[in-house]
Amino acid sequence: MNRGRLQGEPQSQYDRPNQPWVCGHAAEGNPCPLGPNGRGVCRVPDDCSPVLVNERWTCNRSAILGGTCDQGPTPEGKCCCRREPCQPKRTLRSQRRRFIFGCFALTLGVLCIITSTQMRTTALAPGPLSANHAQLLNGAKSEEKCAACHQAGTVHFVDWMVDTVTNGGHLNESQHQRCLKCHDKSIPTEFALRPHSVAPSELDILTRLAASDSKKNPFQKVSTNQSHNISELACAQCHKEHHGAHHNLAALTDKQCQTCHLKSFDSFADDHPQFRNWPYRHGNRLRFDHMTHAGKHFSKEDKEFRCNDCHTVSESGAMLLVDGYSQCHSCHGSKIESSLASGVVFFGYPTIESSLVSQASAPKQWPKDAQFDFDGEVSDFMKLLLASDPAAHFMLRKFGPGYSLTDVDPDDPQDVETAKRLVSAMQAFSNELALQGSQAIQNRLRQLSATVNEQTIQAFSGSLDGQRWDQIRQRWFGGQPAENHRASPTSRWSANDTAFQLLYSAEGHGDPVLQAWYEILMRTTESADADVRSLSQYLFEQWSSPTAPGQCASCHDVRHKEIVWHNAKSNRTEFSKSFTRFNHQQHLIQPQLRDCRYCHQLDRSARPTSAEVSSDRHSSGFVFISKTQCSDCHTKQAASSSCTTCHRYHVDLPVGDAQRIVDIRREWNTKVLAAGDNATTR
Amino acid sequence: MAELSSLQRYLSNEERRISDQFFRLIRKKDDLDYHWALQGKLKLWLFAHIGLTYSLVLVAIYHAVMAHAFHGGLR
Repeated sequence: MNRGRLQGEPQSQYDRPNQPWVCGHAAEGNPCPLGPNGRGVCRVPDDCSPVLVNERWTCNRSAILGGTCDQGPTPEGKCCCRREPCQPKRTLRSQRRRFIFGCFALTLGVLCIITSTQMRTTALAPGPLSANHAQLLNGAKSEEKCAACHQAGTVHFVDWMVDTVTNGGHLNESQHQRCLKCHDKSIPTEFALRPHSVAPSELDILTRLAASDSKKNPFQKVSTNQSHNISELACAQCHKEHHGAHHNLAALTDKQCQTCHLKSFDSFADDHPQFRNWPYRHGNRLRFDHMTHAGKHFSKEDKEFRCNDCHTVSESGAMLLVDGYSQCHSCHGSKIESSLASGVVFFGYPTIESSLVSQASAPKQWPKDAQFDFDGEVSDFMKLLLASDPAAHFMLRKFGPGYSLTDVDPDDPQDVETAKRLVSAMQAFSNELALQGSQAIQNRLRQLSATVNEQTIQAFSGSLDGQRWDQIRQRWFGGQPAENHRASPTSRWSANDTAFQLLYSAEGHGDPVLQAWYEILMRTTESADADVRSLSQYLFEQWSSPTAPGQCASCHDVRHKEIVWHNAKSNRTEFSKSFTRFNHQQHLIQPQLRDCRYCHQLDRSARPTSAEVSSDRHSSGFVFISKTQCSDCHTKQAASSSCTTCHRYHVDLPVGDAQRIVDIRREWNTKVLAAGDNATTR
Repeated sequence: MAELSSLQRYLSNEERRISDQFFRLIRKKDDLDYHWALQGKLKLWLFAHIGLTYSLVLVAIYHAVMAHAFHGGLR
């Protein structure tokens, strides 16, 4: 829209802002009315084009240029006011357009150069990498540096464009796949991207658990909707790279935690829930009672009960580990060895009536001196192995799993018949042992239960030599002089020629055959065969007694589904990841904390763990640590009170552990309620 | 302008009127020079700004494409 002419403004015919060129005389205030052409060439126009009127040339200069001139046209009919040619100049608009084009072309050129050359690795990087990742790229070629973590680093800019247009459809490898190529050991890859790296089912259980504590727990507002909807969280969601060598990639802010844990969390002292049974909620898998040992056993031996004798600081100083069995041996070693001193009977010939030998299918295959009356026991090992033979089941059914030859009434034909079947079964097994050695034991175990693993079978069968066994029993059958015989000094199999028994001499604590025996009993109690099942359960009860050979059950909890032969804490690695972490080393700087009992106070009211035979976990015998013990130092101004000071994001929670946590919580709640009731009663 | 003001007391009434007129004209000229200089700068800035804006748009598009390609799983 034309703005119109202002009052007093000189009239001009030269408003051509859209034209690329302007007359060179415009700056002098005297532009030519026609101006240069589109290519910037001066057209040098006359002021007028004289017209012939009545045979005279007449000036027709326009009024804008001053009207008819005084001199008038030349006699040839040409204008007398000829203008000097000018050097046309570009308009501002034209100059601006050229400048814009120049800038655009320059920028595009620079970007093309950067993108298409090796320079892009450094030029496009948003910042230096953190120290750990930078080390990974040491020695890598320039073009490989981006590609180590980004698939886009392997392709050209055109592919980036295509990927943008197709919304990620072109570059199909997710970055987390590249992250997990290196981090697959520290994070369970299956659920690495799920919240907390936990299986959805487990997280649901934990979320419901948190929600159930809605009245007390500040984390109650865990966004259940979000936890369900979040399918995957990219690594880069929390771990921000390219922030320099000293940037802490693992650092998380409280606000990041509260993206899902919606409840505002201002201070540890005020908002964090009280500790429940931390850090002893998982209990011991060994029946070790600190209180009883400190107050009774050690004082009786006149020994000092020192924590450091059993607990050693891990290499990083983060954890205190249990120093295995070595500290227990001084007291328990002799007791274990004495319980095993006479050997464990593996195979024994009980005494039977001589008439029965002649009736049996394989006469004369019974020690001569063990033929006069029904008497003697069948060893536990034998009972289980014979259970794979149906002939032995008659004895089981008639006299129960605790049967012995003493139970047989020689005047009862049925009893005699049952004993006869057992004798046949024993003779058959004895023959198998002589022919196949330990292979015979393995075959029978495989028949008994398919769930016993091969390693256990191999461990139990040991190195029994069939030929040696045949020599021993032939001597017994022939009534040769008695001798206590051992095959070789290193062999753990020996013969008692007086009692006609093949004995196993366990090596004391940690004997592999006895450990395998417990494992086998554990599996066969789940056998489909009712006879085998009842026998195994009976034997398991017998061997669960603290007085059984080896006294294994007095410390190890053999009732648990997975028998723990090694204390879990002694095997715990630095990478055992639970939601809560605690670094002892950082706390032991303070002198008063160097005494373990400052935090770990013995609970004098705790029941001895030996009484808790029905529980699969045993109390450590300590008073639970309270929140106030931590909140004095853990403030914003002092030792930090952020979530990640004590909590991990990535946890290693195997499937099933969430339910275990719920069970432990429930058990704890029950104990608290019971304690409350007792206090009220008192 | 200070010199012109200091001459006032030596001038007749008619001369003072003419001096005042001079004064106003000089002041107006000064204002015009000032505006001319400032608006020149403004035009120059606009000139450069428009050119650089197009470059910036190009760089922004490039950045968006690159950020999308290197998003690292963040959507």
